[in-house]
Amino acid sequence: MTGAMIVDHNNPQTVAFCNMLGISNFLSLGHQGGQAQQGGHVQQPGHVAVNTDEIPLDDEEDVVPVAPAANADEIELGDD
Amino acid sequence: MKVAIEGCLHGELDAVYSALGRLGGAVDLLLCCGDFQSLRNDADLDAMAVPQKYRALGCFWEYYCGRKRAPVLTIFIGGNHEASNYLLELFHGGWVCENIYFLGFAGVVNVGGLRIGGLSGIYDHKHYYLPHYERPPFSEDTKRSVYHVREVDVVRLSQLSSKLDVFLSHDWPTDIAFYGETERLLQRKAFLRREVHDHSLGSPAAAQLLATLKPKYWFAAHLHVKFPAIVTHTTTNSGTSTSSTSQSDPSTQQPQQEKAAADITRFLALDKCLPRRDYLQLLDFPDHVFDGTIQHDLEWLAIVQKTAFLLEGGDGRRRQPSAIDQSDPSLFVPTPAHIEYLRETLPSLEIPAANFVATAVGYPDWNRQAHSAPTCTKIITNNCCIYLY
Repeated sequence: MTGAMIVDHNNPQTVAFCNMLGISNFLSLGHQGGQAQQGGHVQQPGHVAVNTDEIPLDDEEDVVPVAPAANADEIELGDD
Repeated sequence: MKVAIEGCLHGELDAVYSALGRLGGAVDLLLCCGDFQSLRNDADLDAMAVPQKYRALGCFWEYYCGRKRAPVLTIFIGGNHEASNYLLELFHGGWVCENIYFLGFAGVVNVGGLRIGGLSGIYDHKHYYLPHYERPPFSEDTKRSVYHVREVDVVRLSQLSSKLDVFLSHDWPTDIAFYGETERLLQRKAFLRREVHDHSLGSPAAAQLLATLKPKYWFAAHLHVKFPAIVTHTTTNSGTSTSSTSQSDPSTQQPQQEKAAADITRFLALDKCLPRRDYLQLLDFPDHVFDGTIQHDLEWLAIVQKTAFLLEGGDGRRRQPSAIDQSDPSLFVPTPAHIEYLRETLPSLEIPAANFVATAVGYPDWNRQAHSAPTCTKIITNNCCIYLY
């Protein structure tokens, strides 16, 4: 057990699965990667994008806020 | 076999199990369509992308620590609000606690002969062609990109030849809104209108899988609204597969004589778990008998084996290897001999619940530990601490 450990790339279940199929556990291969490519996702001013990362978690008091979305990651769409 | 399907869970395990309990134990299996939030401790909260006001631990940790036990076998996929660090550990799927199974970033399993596939995450074209490069501790960017659907997983699922009974996704397949009562949906969610009509609502990756796999049932969540639809897949004599809406549009219909076969997918999106919301659906599969176990799927195992090399390498800035050739979408379809080989060599297909291993300390033990070692920040692992001390 790893206390405050954030992630275990060698989770025993994943290791067992990979061993069963004789495949490498790519999670433990160590490539950290870099930043993903940016750009290319342009929204029109005032347009509420729905394919976003933060669809409303609203409770029932939240009523359709629908602020213009300049950043697709920071949108709330509201509920009924 | 009685199956309950739940939309977005958002950590409300107690509430959903309580609702199932009021049905008198009539449910054998619970399927959850994402935003499960398998948060074990405060550190996991740091790995979950969520607005500050919704940042809460929830009750999963009690199941993780063994204080509570899931009363119903539960299978879930990931959404866009997850303990992504924990789910990444179990990329190929696994038990997140006793009686609760994560289907993986992509996966297929069998329960009582019911064949269940799923794709975790949501679609974002910015990251679709990239490898799974994210590793904790996540930045604010990777905390989100980690749950974006990747082409490699869609390609792997596309290799399935045998019919799926059920498929789970978090976001909706693109254009699925046209296969049900579109106007009724837009009356409830008026702000969807623009994207429904410009065909940008939903996941093109999921739409591709819907047209390819043609499962009997497809369940989704994400938009917090109940929406049923029926998709009729038509295979023409030329061999191409199309989908036609149940709301007849003569201009889009294939000539009757070209129709050779038709499969139907019954789509259902469900709401999040809140009072008076349509977050739960019960289905009876009378031809299937629940035996209490989850079984590996042989065809899927063969695909995983055959495509494992696609997951390796990549630095996060480059496209997936050119081995993914869209001109030959069935490049990695396993042969019957491959599947038979696995059948003969694997000792058992059952995924034993005893496989579950706790890899982190659950709240509140984690909390006590963190306070007793103030120099260890949340993002430093115990292993790192060992090196530091």
